[in-house]
This record gives sequence, structure tokens and C-alpha cells, in this order.
Amino acid sequence: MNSPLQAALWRFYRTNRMETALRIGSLTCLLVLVYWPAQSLGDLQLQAVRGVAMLMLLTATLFSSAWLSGLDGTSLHRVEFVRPISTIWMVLVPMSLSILSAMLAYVLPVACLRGLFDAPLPLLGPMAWIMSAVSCCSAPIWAASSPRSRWLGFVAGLIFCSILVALFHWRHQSSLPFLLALGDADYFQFHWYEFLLCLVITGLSLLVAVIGVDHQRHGLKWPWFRHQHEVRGRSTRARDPSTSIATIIGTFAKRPFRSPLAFRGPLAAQIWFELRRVVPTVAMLSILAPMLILAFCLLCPLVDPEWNSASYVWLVASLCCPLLVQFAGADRALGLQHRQGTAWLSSFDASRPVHCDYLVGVKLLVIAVCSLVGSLLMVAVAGAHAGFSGDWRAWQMLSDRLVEVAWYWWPIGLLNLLLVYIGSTSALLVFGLTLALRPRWMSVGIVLGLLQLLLAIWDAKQGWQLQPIWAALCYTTAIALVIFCLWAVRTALVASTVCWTWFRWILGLWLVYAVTGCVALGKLLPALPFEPPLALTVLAYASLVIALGTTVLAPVSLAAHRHG
Amino acid sequence: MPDPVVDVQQLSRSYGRTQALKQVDLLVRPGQVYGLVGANGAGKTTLIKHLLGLLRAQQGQVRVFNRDPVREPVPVLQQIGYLSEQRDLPEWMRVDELLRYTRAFHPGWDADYAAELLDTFGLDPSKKIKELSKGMRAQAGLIAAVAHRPQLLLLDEPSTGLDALVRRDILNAIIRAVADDGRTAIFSSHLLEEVQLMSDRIVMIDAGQILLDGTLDDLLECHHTFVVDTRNAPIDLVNLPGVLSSEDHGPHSKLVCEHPRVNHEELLANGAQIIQARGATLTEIFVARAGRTQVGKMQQTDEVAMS
Repeated sequence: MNSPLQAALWRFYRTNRMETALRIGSLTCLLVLVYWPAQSLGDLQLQAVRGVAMLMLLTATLFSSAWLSGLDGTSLHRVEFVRPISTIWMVLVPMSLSILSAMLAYVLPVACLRGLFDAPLPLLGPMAWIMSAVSCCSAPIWAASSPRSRWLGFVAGLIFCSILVALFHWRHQSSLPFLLALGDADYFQFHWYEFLLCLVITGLSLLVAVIGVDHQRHGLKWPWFRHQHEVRGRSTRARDPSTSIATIIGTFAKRPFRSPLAFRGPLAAQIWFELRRVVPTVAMLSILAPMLILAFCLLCPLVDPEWNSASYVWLVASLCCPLLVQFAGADRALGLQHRQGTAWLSSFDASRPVHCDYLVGVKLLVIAVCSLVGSLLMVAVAGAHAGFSGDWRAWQMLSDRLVEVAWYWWPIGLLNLLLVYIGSTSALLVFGLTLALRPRWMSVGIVLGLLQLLLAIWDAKQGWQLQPIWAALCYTTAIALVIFCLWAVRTALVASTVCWTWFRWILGLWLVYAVTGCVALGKLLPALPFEPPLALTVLAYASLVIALGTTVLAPVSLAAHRHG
Repeated sequence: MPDPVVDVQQLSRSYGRTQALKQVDLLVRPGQVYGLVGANGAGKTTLIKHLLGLLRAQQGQVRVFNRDPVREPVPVLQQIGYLSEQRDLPEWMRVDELLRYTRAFHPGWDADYAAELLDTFGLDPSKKIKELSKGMRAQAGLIAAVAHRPQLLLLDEPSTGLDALVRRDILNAIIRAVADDGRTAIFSSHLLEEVQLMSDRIVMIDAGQILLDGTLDDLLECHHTFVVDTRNAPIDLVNLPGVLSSEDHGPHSKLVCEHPRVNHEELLANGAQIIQARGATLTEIFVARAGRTQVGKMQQTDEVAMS
């Protein structure tokens, strides 16, 4: 590396390559999966699907760990301050690269959709919006020096962006609802002054970030904070008479520090530890998510007076909420330390005298409890909204369906739900832990999956000419799944990573799940409008082992981190 | 003879192409303080991580309290107190929460001892770890490591960040207390004077290999330093068997020698005029031994290149 620019580019590449590749790959996969089956729909429905795709794209490209990781203060190390480069250079290069990577994360999936399906998705307008939004939200993270002010700045940036979007939508005077308008290619036809505004916002954000980092670099405070500090100092000095009654009362009233009570045992301590690690993120999410849905449901009637789908939105949100909390909880519960693109388990975590299955069990329990609480909160807000608006239709429909279910399905369903939850959470843990340990394997796997998906779409358009290959792939995958699961079970038991008691419980639950799954598949497959190929049927049955495999594999993955 | 606390046999470990440990054998008996000495990257932390089960042995065997620390982490780790080199304690915890949390995993926790140490260090238990300085973190980690009175205390570079007073008096007192109770302490360091002050036995490690393993007294007894005038010596004295290193200071040379093999008579017989003779310090022994390994390696490389 011959120049600071090359070094900065290399550093950005090394610390963000995996995340960027994952983001672009998963976005492309997801959008293709959403858009592919929607092609047979009518124009209006297709426009709605495009709207959903645009919403997903804009949201996903905006939130990138390239700059979000700065919220915990890891984007800017003090060591950077002593590098012989100017502050402008120090800030502008990584910020610009973050913006460019966000824009790239939009352009590539859109280009893919355009190429595959001729989807009329806009390019320039959204890119300008992404540029200004990313810079606007990331600037306070760079500029602020304390975690609290970083978060405040980030939230303020988000609110500012939301206001801009609302103003844009209002100025556009579109008669369509927001989601449909997003799917309209003409919606993002920006005027020259709108592009200019985006540029100005970006420029100002970069300026704020540069000034903020420069202040941090030289140990200065912002003028407003400096003033506050001086005022606080003066007022403290003024109220500091050493012999006043207030001081004496204050001395007595000062609460002495009391050490907390000891835990009852390792289980209680570990649950407390995981809760402390998971709860802040999950609690914020559990509060923010219902608030966002509530805002959406209150704003929609203002945009479209005939809109009356609030109860359905709440129903979908209530069903998705456990998944959302599960994702966020699993991410936090991994307990990996991240720095500069590398992740590892701290020796504090690794050297705890507790078995891996025990640690994973506590993580699963904590995530489940958090999901339950998050869902209850969502349902409570949904109930309050339904109570005020009097719209209970979706809930009524759900309860009518549930009443029809025979009594014996309830315990079976609960047991299945339990295993599915344990299995899916374990899968998330396995994914996160393995991604940190073997990033190359995982990225190769994702790329292969993506290529396979693209090939499947191409082949579907050609009328499934490669059917023998797909059949062979299905059989191979089915066999690989079963072998992989057996290997996972054997490894876990031989290495004592999973104790027999835990395994027996999981095996019992899995047997119930497998029997139910077989019965359900036996009824579902013949009822399909087309006859599924035998290979696909075999794969569907074989995939029932995934839940057992991931559940057993989670402690093995943790042990791989723990024991090198 | 009591059972060994640690029994490492033929342990090898490599990270990619780098060989971190090469067929290491180590037997640790209870009731002694072991100083693990080596340069940066010598393999000290890797060896300690194997004892904790944080690394699985690629080759060879590791037994701690006659158990495999990877297969049976709970009974092994319950008897170990560990202070890591990175001091990677959870930053969101308060000091008292750290102790409370650690206590839950160790039935033999001595709350009075923990309070006494807190008092000695002057640590504020209501402070968060992230608010502590590097030295204070080391102190908090040290309390968490020793308060359950572990049978084996593993300290990885414990003096990093500690001031001279704490290092010399308190750390030494803690480690000595462990050994006096019949328990064992292993600590790694590259500060050789400190190791000399605290250890009963020295394990010298370099480039993943154990160079020396013996009691401090034996080690010091069998290494001598001679300052000699070599102008009249007919041969290069460094080539004498038993001379570990030679350092030129003008007309004089400082030789570090293995004592029974090289003595006054032998040096005089080879034409050297002895100006000063004294016992070697640990630093001199280490530099001589480690330097010898480096020279050996360079010679090997040269030979390969020549051939």
C-alpha cells in the first residue's frame, strides 16, 4: 500500500467485505424470491410487490454495519487520531465508502431484477435518497463522542429522514397509498432541486462529521456543550457552601452503596448475564416496533381515507414480532466481540466453568422469554388500537379459525412450536457462530446458493429443461442433510458437548415434530394443485431433520469457539 | 509424591503455518509458583489456553487435575482462577456485579477475601468496568480470579498495567499466599526480574519449545557469568561446549556459561584472563538461551540456503 487512500480502501474492504457481500447477496435472493412468483399477478398487485421490494431495498441499504457499528464507538479508534493524515481525510474516505457501499447494495439487486424480470425499478432518485439518508444518519455517530449522544444523533437523523420522506410524499400529491406509490417508477423522478437538496444534506452531514471528529481528535467540546459545562460548573460552585444545612442533609441523604445479593447458583447468574446482554436491544426493539406500526396505522387513514386494513397489519405484525425479537436476541446472545471485521469469544465467556449445552440452553431460554414479552407488548398495543378503532375483523377471523382446531392439536402444536422455536433459534446461533469462525465457507455457501437460485429462475423460464439435474440435487441434498444431522448428533455426544439428558429431551420433542411433520406432509402434498416430483417429496421429508441437527449443532458451534 | 496438577505431554499446536507449540512436556506439582518466561509470541498464552481448555490439543495430551479440560470443563475450570492478558471483562458490568456473577460459578468463594482485596486495591465496587483504567481492570480481574481460592491460579501477564507498588507487594503476596496454602500458581511474564522475585520454578519457553524447566535455585546455580579478557586466548571461547553466549565489550567479553561444564580452570586453560566471575541473572540466562536458539535457527536457514 503506497498511499493513505489505498490503506483506507483496503481497511474498509477488510472490515466490511463480508457484511456487504451478505447484504447484497441476501437482498438479491430475497427480492428475487418475492418478485418471481408475483409476475403472474395483475398490474396493481405487481406494483404493490414492487413497492414492498423498494421499501425493503431502501430500508436494508440504509442500515449497514459499516456505519451502524459506530453506535458502540468501534468505528473510530483513538489510534486513528495519531495517524499522520488530516481529519478531513480520516472521516471523508470511510464515510464516502459507507455511502457508496449502501448505493451499491441498492444498485446490484435492482440491476438483477431489471435483468431477470424487466422490473421497472428506478435508479437515480433512490440512490440520491440513500446517499443523503446514510450520510445524515451516520454523521452524528461520527461526530458525537459519547454513546448517549451518538444514539440521540442517530435517532434525530432517522426522524429527519422520515420527515423528508413525508414532505416528499406530500409534495408529490400522489393519490396512491404510500406502498403503491413506491412501486411506481415515476414516483422517484426527482427534480433538479431535489437532487441538489440531497447533495446539500450529504455535504452538510460530512461537514458536521469532520468538525465533530476534529473536536474529538483535539480534545475539544462543541460550543454548546462547552457553555453547558461552564454553567453547570458555576451553579455547582454557587451551591457548595460547606457548612450549610443543605450540605449536612445531603451527606446523610446520600445513599450508601450496597452490594447486591449473591446469586442462588450458576443458572441464575447465567440467566442474569444473558438477560443483561440481550435485554437492552430487545427492549428497544419491542417498544419501537409497536410504536412504528401504531404510527403507520394512524398515518395511513390520513393518506388514504378508505384504508381499513389496520387489524390485518396488526395481526401480521403480531405474528412477525417473535421472529424479529428472535433475530435481534440471537444476534446479541452470541456474545462475540467484534473489532475491525473480526469476531471472537472473549476469554471471560470461554473460561466459565459451565458446559456448552448449558450455556446454549440459557441463551435459548432468554431469547424465548424476550420474544414472548415482545409479542405480548405488540398484542397489547394491537388490542388497544383495536379497542379504540373498533376494528376486530382480523382477530375475529383468527379466533374463528382457531376454534375449528381439534383439542388434541393444541398440545401437539405447542410441542411442535417449542421445537421449531428451539431449532430456529439454534440455527441462528449456529449461523452467527460459524460465520464468525469460518467466514469464507459461509460466503462461498451463500454465493453458491445465490447462483443456484438464479439458475433455477433461468431454468423455470426455459420450462425446466434441467430437470434431471434438479432431481439429482434434491436427492443429494436430502442425503447430505440426513448425514449431516447424524454427524452433528454423533459429534455432540462423543465430545460430550451435549449431555444425554438434554439430548433425550430434544429427541423426544423432535420425534413428536417429525411424526406431525410426516402426517402434515402426507396430507399437504396430495392436496397441491400439481403433483410434486418424487425428489422434491423426498427432500421435504428429509428436511424434517434440520430442526434436530441445528439444535444439537448449536453447542458444538459454541464449543468450536471455546476450544479453538 | 502428590499427583501433578498439570500434566502436558508432547503438546503441539500450529496456527496455519506458524508452529506455536512444539512437542511441549510440562509437569506441574502442587504448592509451587511457576514462572512462565518467554519473549512475545513464544507460546506462553497458547500453553495457558490449553490448560484452560480454550484450545484443543492438536497433538499430544493435556491433563489438568487428572482431567481433560476440553471434555470436562466444569470440574477443571471450577478449580482454576484465570486472569487473561487482554483483561476482556464485560464492560457493562459493575465491579460488584462482576464479583457477584463470578461467585455463582465457584462454590468456594471467599467473600471476606474478596472484600479485603477490594479494600487493598481501593477499587470502587459501584464503578462500571468500562470506567476503570487498565490497571484497575487488572485488579478487578485479579480479585475475580483469586477470591474463590483456586487450586490452580493462571495469570497471563498479570503485571501489565499494574503499578510498581502493586506489582511488587500485592501481586507477590497474592501469589505467595496461593503457594503457601499448598495450591499452585502459574504466571507468564516477560519481566524477568519480577519472575525471579516471585517464582519457585522457572519454565523458559521460546519459539514454542521449552528451553529450561527447573527450580530457580538450580537454574541460577548452574549458570555463571564470566567477564574475561580474551586477547591472549588462542581459540574463540564461544565455541567451547557449555558457553551459551558471548558479548563483546571492547577487549573484554561477557560469557554466560553452564557451570559444571565450564569453570575457572577450563577458561584459564584456554588462555582467558578472568576479570569477574559471578552467578548469572535470569535475564542473562534467558537471553543466552533464547539467543542460542535464534542463532541455531539462522544457521539452519543458512545451511539450507547454501545447499
